[in-house]
Amino acid sequence: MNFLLFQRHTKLISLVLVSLSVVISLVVMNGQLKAIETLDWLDVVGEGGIILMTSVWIFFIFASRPPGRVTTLLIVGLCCFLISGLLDLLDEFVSYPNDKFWLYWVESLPAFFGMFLMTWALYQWHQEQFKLNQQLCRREAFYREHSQIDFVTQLYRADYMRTLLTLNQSQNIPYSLAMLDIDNFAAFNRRYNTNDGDRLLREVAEIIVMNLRQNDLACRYAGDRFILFFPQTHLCDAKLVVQQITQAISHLAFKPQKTGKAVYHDVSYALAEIKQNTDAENAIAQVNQKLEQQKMIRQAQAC
Amino acid sequence: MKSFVEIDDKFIPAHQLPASIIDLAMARGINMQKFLRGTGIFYEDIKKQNLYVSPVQTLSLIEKAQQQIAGYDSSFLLGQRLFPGNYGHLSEALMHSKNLHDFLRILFCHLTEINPFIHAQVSQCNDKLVVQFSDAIGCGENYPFLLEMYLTALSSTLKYLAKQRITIAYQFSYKRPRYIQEYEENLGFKISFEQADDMLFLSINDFEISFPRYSQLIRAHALNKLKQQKTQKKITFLQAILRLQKLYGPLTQEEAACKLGLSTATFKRKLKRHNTRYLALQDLYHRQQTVIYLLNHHNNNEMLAAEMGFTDVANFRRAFKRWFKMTPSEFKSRYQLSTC
Repeated sequence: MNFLLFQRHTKLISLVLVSLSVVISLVVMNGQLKAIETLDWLDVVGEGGIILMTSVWIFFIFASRPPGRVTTLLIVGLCCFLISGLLDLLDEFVSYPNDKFWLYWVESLPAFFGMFLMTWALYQWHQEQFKLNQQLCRREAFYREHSQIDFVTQLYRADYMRTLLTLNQSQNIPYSLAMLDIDNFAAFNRRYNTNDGDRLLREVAEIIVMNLRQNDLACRYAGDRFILFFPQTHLCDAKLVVQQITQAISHLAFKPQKTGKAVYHDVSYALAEIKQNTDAENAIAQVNQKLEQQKMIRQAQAC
Repeated sequence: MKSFVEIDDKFIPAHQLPASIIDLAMARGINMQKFLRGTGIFYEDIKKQNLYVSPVQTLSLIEKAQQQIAGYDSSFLLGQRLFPGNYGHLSEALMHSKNLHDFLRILFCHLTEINPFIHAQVSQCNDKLVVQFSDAIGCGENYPFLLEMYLTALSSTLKYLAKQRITIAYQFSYKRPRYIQEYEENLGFKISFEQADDMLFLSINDFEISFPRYSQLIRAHALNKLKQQKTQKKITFLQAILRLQKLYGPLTQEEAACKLGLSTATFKRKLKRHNTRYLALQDLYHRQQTVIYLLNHHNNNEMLAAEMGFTDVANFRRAFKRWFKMTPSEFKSRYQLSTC
């Protein structure tokens, strides 16, 4: 787990802690401890469990969300809910001067208020998620699976593409596939170092994504290979996009850490228009084969 | 003095493979303390000189790498980084070897120094060089990972040294993995799975492909230094047994133990420590032999039986069925041995 986000939540964390201590001190000042024998342990366990789980929720929101309006709303809402729970739990242990004491009747108010805030926060979260999804387009298609995201390029891996192609096969959607390969990447890795190699991959991935259309998808295939998916696209249209990508990449003046001098890269690519009812493996094999052939031809020319 | 090294002996220099694994894990953002916990290796110790670790420790590092590094490419990435690497004079000799033939000769002569995990059995069939791989130290479940790594190292090194394509064909006994893209990217497209054995094929016609980096003097110097350094050639316990089988044919467990100067009980205990049984090694020997005979086009059963030291074919078929759970003709039709 990563706890880096906690440092950015100091205000909210202190708000939660202060309000909890205010509640506890109010209860302690006004109430009197009950005798141990009169306690209803079933209630204590149930209400204690609610407190514990709410605290865990608050913890995970702190751990996983950056500060912002939605986060603040969620935390304040949960904190109100926690206050109600805490009052409920504490009055198992203490008794107040009379039945009509204000702490009794105020008990359930924060929970309602908190639930209201959280509902509002959830609606906001929903809107936020839509914005985020838009940011992710061209990197993500129809489903989300964070375990398939590649560490280096932050694109999805080949598995994701296979699943997508299989889905396309079942829905009978024609599409084009492209495979891109950075030339002499191994030599670059040897010459500079693997950190620079990783950075280069990341930047090339960015360029690819920038040059795609909204409905296309790019995944990292393996090593220095990228696979691009163009739904309902003819070969010539896809070729245009891929040519634009290769042009953009050839203009990337990548500066390795060691020398700081620009290194330029070319990419080889192959395209295939996939007919309906082709399975994922077959489709990928088609572009792979074309790319291999091209490389052979190129090598033969070089000799 | 033992004539072999075992899975618990500390003889692998920590700045070689173990350091590469740790580097990769760190580059992938993994917590070092968590990564090294329980392996008995300490980050500070590796920085100091001359730390040696055992195969068991290295294997536990590999296991952790597989668990904690996301993605399937760690074995291939490690393979790419392994060479030229820091194998001292050996790296130098290989870097400046004359041609493919020379490279392979130096490599197989010193293979255990680079790689004590996987045994390579080299033979020639017609115009092909066949290298059969097997577990050399008891890698268990980590064996495919190590095989992927060393094969990637070989193929990327050859690509680097030869400056032109050297075609290598591969066969693997295990199932086609889901991450086939990594195999294709790093080893090429001549790969088939669920075959008789883990092996690779090189064409002998390619042996004369010369390496532009060839330097006679540096190569000779490095080889000379290697010779001086070496006190005794290390082979692993399992390799010692495989070598006995190769020398004397199929031995019984007692005979093998005796030849290694061990009591049968110790022998069995050591085998268990290396995650195997004697029967498994015998099967391996038979499988590798059969594959080589079949590759040499000894196609009919009589000839095959004669080569394997059986006097009558019925007996041979019975033994064959015990080794492979299938008849010789099924074996031949199932695996692509004649097409290579």
